[in-house]
Amino acid sequence: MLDSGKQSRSNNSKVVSRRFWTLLGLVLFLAVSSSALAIRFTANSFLADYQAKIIVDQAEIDARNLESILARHRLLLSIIGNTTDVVNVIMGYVDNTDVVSDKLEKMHRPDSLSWVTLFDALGEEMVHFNAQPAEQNIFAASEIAGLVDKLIDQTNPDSKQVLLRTIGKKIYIVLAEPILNAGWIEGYIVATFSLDMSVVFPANEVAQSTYVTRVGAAESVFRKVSDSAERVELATGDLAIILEPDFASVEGAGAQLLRKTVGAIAGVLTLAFALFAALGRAALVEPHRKLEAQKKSLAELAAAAELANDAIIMADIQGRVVWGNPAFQSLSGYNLDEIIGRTPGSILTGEKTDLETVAAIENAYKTGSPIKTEILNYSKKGDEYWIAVSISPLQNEEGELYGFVSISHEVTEARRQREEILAAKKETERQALHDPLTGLPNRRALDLALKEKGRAGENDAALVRIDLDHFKYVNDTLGHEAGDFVLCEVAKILRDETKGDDLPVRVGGDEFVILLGESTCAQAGESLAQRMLERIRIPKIYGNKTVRVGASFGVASTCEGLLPLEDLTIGADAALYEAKDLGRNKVRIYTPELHKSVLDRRKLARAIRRGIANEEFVPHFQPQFDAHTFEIVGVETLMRWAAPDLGLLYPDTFLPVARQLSCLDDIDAVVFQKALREIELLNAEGTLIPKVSFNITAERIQNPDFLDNLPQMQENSPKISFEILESVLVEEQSDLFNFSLDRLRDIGFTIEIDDFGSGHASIVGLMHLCPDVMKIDQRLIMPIVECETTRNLLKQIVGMAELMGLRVTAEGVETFQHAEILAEMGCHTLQGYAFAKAMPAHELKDFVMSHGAESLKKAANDH
Amino acid sequence: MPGCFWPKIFCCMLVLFGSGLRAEPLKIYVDADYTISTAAAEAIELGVNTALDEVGFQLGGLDVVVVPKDHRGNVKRSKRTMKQYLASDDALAIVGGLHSPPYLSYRDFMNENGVLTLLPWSAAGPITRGAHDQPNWIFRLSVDDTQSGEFLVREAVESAKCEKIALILVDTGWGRANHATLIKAYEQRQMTPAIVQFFATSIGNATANSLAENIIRSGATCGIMLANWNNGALLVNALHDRLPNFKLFSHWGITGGGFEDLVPHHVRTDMRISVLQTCGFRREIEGSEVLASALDRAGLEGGTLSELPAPTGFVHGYDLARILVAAAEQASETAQWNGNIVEKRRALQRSLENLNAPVTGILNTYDPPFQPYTAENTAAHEALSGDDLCTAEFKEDGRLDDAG
Repeated sequence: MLDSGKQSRSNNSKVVSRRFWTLLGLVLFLAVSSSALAIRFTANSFLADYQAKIIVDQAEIDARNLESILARHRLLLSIIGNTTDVVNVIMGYVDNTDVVSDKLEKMHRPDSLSWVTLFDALGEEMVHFNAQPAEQNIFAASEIAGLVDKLIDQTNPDSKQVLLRTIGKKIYIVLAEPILNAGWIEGYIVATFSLDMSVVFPANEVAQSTYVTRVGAAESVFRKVSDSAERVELATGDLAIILEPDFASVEGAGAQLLRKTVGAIAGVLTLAFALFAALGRAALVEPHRKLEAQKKSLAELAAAAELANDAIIMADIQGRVVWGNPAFQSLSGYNLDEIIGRTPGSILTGEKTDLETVAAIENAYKTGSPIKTEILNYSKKGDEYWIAVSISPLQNEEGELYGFVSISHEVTEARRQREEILAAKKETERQALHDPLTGLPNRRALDLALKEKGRAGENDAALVRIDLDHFKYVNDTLGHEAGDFVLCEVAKILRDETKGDDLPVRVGGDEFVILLGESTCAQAGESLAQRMLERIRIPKIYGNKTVRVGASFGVASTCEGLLPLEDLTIGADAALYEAKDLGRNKVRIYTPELHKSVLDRRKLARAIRRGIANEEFVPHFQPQFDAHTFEIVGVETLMRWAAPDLGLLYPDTFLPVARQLSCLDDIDAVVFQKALREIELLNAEGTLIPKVSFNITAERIQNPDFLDNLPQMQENSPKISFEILESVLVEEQSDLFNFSLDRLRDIGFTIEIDDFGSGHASIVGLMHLCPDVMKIDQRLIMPIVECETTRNLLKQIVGMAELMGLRVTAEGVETFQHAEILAEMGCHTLQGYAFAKAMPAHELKDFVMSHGAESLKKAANDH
Repeated sequence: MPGCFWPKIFCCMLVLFGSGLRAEPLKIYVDADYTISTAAAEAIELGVNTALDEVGFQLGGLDVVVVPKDHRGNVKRSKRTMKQYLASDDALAIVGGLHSPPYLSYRDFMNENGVLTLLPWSAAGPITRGAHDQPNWIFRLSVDDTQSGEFLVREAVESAKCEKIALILVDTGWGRANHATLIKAYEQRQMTPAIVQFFATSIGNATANSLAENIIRSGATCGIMLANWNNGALLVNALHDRLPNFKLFSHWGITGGGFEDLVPHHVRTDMRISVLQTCGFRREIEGSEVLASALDRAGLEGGTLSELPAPTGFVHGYDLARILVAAAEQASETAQWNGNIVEKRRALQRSLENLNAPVTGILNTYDPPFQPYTAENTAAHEALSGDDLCTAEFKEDGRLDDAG
């Protein structure tokens, strides 16, 4: 039945359309044919006039075309003829037979130019230029002479005289233009131009042939051609053109005009009917077709809704159900009869249904606006299920609301999965911000909290930094489990002692931080730290063992105006370091004094960096002497800092900070290069220094840049020696260190062990290292005068060196008495204030120059 | 003595026969530009006619008429006149106009064919200096440009104290010949011109402006100009537009036409235009009776020289015609005078070169005006010398007057 109904509707639409178009076509045909007949009977006389006119028009066009070409040529002649050079030739002031060719070379010479001749005032030829030799004799010399004679005799420069010849499809025209001097004709420029007929008179439908003739000869040609020929004189009055019409073509043109007219009327009528058809179709056929289409569409929609998986219900304007699809019945458990006439809310909601969602849906019904939401429904059996529902208002063509359609599908499972994902995400986030061992917030949480304080514009904040004392000992002696136990115990103390808005944090290892809550300052932090210290120091039982740890606390706050929020951690660190320096288990606050010290160190750090960039570090040299002859055997290079604003500084004032800045190597490099340059300079000036030694760290020795930039040892250069601290003998050195040391030796440098005896000297290490020189620490040297034990000890050390084949240098030799004892003991080299202090290069030069070993010996003997 | 009778009778008969045959008077052609430079042509003709009128239009006892021949500045027409002259049985001499080109172009033709030519205006130096191995038939009573260059430079440098001087020269044989003499005059003073500008014979306003622009840009504050009157007027106006007190020394090419009509008086005054002239005005100031008499005869009773549109033409034409009359008188004493026209011309040419008695004219008493032309005496056919040159200035009415 449905199919037959559709068929019938489709047929109705086609019939209406067919009738409409047939009627329209018939009326159009009648209108066009009657118009054509009317034109055919009325246009005959008009057609004859039209044909005559197009012949005249064509003749005029041809004449104007020829005029235009000739005018261009005359203009060319006039331009050439009235140039100063040509006038000078014509007047006889200058004799130049190339004047015309020179002019034409500079201009665009038309291809149609055959030749040009200049005639003077007496008609004599003066200059001839032949552009086309083959066309030289088209006109006899007598013809040209005759033309020139006529021109010379006439007084009117505007009078035109021409010669004309037609050969085949070409016209040859002789043109002449006067040459003027002060307005008077003093000669003529005469030229022949060849014109192609097909170019001058392009083929057209009107002319059978077109001729050019001189005006005098026009009548005879005219008569010869045809009675119906059209003649037009050129405006210059010398030439005429005669056009012989092609009557067949002209009549054809008339018929074509008729066709065009009928065609135009047919076109206009067709256009008018097309407009009528468009309007008629829109007004009559289209609504009919649209109605049919709507019916079809609605039927298809109804079928689709019946089959849809989504639950669909339609409600009237009051929200009462008027229809529901099978999917809805299946989801809700209600059949259509049970729900029609009732609102969905009254049958589907239950105790857990979110009331706000219900209210939003009711509001959408009231206002007629669409809504999308999720809501918990109850089935007929009472089972809970979640649906995603989209409720849209329905409007008729006038835009009036007449009901609602609700489309929904179950999302119970999807919601469950979503909630699980959210919970997992939350846990991940929590873990990212917490320490897994203690459960305390971690460093990241602290950073976020500090940033949040900064964003919130909280001005006052305090931070306590905690570092456990001797925690490593716990780990090392009792194991990591015990360490973890201690950390958890401390975390518990932190939790207990802090308030709700404090943030206790484990920032790593045995380090903790507490960011105190709002409006707390250093004093509150100090009290808190004291309480925690007390509790942390209480021994804890792990297994059956007692565990003791202490803690150092650094407290900093922004309240005193010393620190901005972002530097709070740095301030607390500084306070913590001070607490540790003071002997641990202390609480220190970041005070103005500490602040000043931090600033000073910062300032010094900046100055050091600048000093490195400006190479302000300089070498001083302390001479070393042979223990027996007192001759200078070398110098030790000692670094000094010639700071422009601080004066000359000794290493102890800047080395700790430089070490923290990790820029010791850079300073060493500056001093090393400067020292080498200065010693080289002294050598070049004749002050010979046998050996220069430099202090060097184990780290620097292993630096590839250092090895790569070492100077080449020259034959006459002083020897270079590197002094390495005794401490390298204690610690096990890497392969790289040993490799680098071997390279230094290979290059030719000597190695000295510095400050031997100051620490835990390792004999095995010494044997392994195989230095060239052993420098005995001054603390062993100084007491030898008074202390026999030391003297004996030193003797053993020197003896050991002898056994190992090492040379021995004693530093810190303060008196000649020391020198004497040391020389007797077997020391080879002496260095100390008894001989000389460290000095800059220029003083060293003077010192060496004035040094007399003998006088020193005498001084020693006198002593 | 009877032996002498028949020859005398024969001579008398020849004279009678000759005079009886000579129905036509002798003709003096005035080959000048009557169309464009009308004033100059007519002034020359008036000067010649005035002098001939004094002797009843008789030359060596023969009637003479003056025949104007308009060449309109075209050299070819002059040539045609020369040919007509040579073909004529009674054309005795040609008096030239203000143009030099015809005689520069055909000097050799004239000397080779014996065209006896008297030039009252043409100034180009080479005209009267033909080949030395043939007779010279061209005589001049006018400025000689071999001398005018030196004169103009002297006026500019020494009288007006000009330091930067432009040379503004028409690009013809006349201009180029003067360029050489002007440069020579500079070199003698160890100077160079600020700029040398040649221009074509017929320029327009655009060219004149461009030339003036170049001249002013060169830094020149004075100029020496050789131009015809129409080109000269355009140049002077263009120069005045840019530098109103530009001091100008002009060859007389600017006279004889409509220069004064095209260049307003204030422009001429601002630029203090000095025009090269012979010393006619000075003679008038000095009270020359010859001049007064000539003016009376020319129809200007009690009038002044400056009342004539081109006084130079009149003065030179008059003096030249007086020399012609004297020469014809001397030639008439020879047998050749009684011969055909060619012989008459030869006799007259020789008399002109060898006048026995001084000839009094407006400018000078010529004693003698001309001499035989030789390689050593290249100025032999010049009636005037550098000492006969003066400068003139324009009066408010456009006429010239002695510059003092």
